[in-house]
Amino acid sequence: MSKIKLTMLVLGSLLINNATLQAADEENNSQVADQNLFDSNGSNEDTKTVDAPATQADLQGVRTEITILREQWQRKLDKGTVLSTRNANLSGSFTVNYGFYNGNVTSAGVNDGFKVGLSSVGFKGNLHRDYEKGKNIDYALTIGSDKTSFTLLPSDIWLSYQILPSLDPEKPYLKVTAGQQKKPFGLEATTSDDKKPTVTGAQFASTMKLNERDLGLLITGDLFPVNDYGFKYRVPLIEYNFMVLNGNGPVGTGNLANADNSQDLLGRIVINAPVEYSHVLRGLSVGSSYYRGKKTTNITNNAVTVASQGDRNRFGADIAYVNTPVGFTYEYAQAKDPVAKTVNGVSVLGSTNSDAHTFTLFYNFGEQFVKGYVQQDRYDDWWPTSYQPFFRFDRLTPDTSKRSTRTDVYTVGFNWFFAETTKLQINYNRTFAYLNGIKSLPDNALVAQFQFGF
Amino acid sequence: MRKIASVFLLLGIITTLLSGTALSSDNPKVIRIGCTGSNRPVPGNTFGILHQLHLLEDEFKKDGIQVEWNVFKGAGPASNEALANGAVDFVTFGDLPSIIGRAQGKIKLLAIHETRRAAYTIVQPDSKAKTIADLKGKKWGVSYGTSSHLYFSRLVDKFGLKENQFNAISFSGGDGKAAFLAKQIDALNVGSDVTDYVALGQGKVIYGTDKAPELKGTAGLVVTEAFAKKYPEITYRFVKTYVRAAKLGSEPKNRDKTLALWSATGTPLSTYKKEYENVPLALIINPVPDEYTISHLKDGIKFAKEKGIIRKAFAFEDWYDGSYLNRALKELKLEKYWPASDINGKPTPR
Repeated sequence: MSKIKLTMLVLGSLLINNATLQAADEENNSQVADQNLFDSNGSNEDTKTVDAPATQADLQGVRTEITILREQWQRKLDKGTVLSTRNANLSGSFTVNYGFYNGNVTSAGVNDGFKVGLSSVGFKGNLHRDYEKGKNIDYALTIGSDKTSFTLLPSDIWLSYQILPSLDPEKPYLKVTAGQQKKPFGLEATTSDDKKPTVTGAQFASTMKLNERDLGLLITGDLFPVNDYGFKYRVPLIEYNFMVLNGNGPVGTGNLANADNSQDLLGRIVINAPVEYSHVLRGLSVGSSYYRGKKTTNITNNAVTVASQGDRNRFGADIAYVNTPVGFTYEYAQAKDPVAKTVNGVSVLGSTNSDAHTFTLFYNFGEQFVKGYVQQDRYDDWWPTSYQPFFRFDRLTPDTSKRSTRTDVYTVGFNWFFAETTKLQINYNRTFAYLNGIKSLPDNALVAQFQFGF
Repeated sequence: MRKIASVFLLLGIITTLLSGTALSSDNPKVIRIGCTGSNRPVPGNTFGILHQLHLLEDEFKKDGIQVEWNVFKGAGPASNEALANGAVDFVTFGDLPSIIGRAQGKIKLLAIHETRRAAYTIVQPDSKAKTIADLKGKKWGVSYGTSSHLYFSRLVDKFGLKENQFNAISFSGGDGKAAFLAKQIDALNVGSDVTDYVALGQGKVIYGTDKAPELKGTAGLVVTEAFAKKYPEITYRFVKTYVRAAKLGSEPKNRDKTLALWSATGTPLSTYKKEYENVPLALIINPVPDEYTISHLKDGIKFAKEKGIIRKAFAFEDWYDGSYLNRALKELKLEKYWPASDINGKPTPR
């Protein structure tokens, strides 16, 4: 028995030693193979050529090449290039969609079929660049279509100046912008279309006229910035906006100037979670907006019409958590608008209060929104494909004294970002209108939309 | 209420379907690598050899595992962002960004990627400044969050000065170069591309790591803890292939071709030749931490904490996981191959 054990032990050791030797041989062989691969990748001649000193003939060849290229470039520049006195970035954004509509609320009278939605094209650029402090002067000129007639109207026309230096991320920023621009009220109205998950915006943004541009002077700034250099991430504790505006909507709809002598005022303040990039609370912000303005309303009594000015005020509160991969936004908006009311048979100036709630929950798959990741050196036209399912609840109560009359919209959607500036959006909207507490039959709309830009 | 529940159920289904690709399996479908280039999608150093010889692709081909190279324009901060968002598994980056990455995230240092990374401070050709102290109150371009930031902090500290005595301006990408060439700033931190500025008469060197080798940078190879924990054998094979590439680049007979490979990054070959003149490449891409690199990284951690760049310090020993590297060195019989350096960068027995 012991002999068998001894024999097995010897055989075992031989096998193990052999395996070890084989492994060592394999490692040696793999290193030889590595060296062969290294030697075969590009030739040594290439390296020698790179090392060889340049001759006068070589230099002359390079000079000739440069001269030819310079002449070619100049010819192109003279004949076939759009020139600009100052830096100008041309950009555009377009949508085309197909929708199925069924119902009597938002889908009433809407036929199934293709539609071209909002489109815009414009220039943005720099009129003065301050390399030392970043106190730059920038401009924008954008023309956009309206939804119904595709009439092109001015969208953004503004000039901005960085009052405080913008190159030091540890210091607060302050900027002034004059011209026609977005109103800094809440989330829905300030988010650009390419960042919005839904095809259709929240109801309140259009009914309260918060998503339309206006003419005015906007001061934008921040305080107490937290700067995480390791991630190039800067978040100010406080962001503030203050705007003086006509309150008469954008240029081009007949209102080239203010409708009255009074100016409307708009203020917004946002508190951000002052945390570093990797913190779970990154992207958490709480904001509040207040708009105070006047609106002229005609009051007619005994065939005599008197233009009366009433308060047009807005109040908003919002909370957002935009992190990776999950995020949500909730926004509450309240409006007070002047209306003509009849009291005891006499038309008087009254007011209506309305309010709205909008909640959106989304989840991102992919790196579409990871800024540092998408900026890569690549030879091909690469972009990380990303997906974003989302859910939105949107409620608008047009008169808060009649809460039982309102419209609720539930949206389930899916965004597919398949190229750098292009996405496919699929939205299913289910809308319920309540009239004095009576719920309507559901209104259904299924819309697939391509949003693309350059 | 039931309808709302249905909506969430639908979302849940979509989410589950989409996340199907990320469900657990024996091997990953893809190994995602992050690194930095020089305006071309080609990394340098050991990663440059791995990338151009397709060593990783060959290693994992038999398992059907793809290798994805992501060469970030935004250097270290972009790598950290990608790591924090779970977009990459392995990354090489400089000392300060990797220290910040570890301070905020769960990554393990597997090996060294580059030692003795050069850094220089240049001033305008007509500048009268002769010393670092002469730059007090002057505008100095620094790329915050990168190795340049750590170099700047250590440099002013070396001369007993404070950072706030200078008008340091943070630039990223080519903005610093544009501002310097437009003569809008007085000084700029640059790397081995210093030779281009000097050769073209665009700037002159006022100080650099040629005079203070202790200010040279160190870059590392890291892996996310999640990946290493889930795929320890894949991690090991990655490190082993990495060591094979480092060996090829370290061989004196391969020197010229290695430098030629690195010049595919976009940095001219002449720049590499000048930078590494009389320096064995085995010192530059030595993957094995030694006293020199360890002390440099430990100092970096301490420095970053003192300067408030990171909120919480950590021990180097908790960050570095040498198990994969040691196993690879042993299997490849390369335990004694790379030279070791003492704390001052002088040769010492390993």
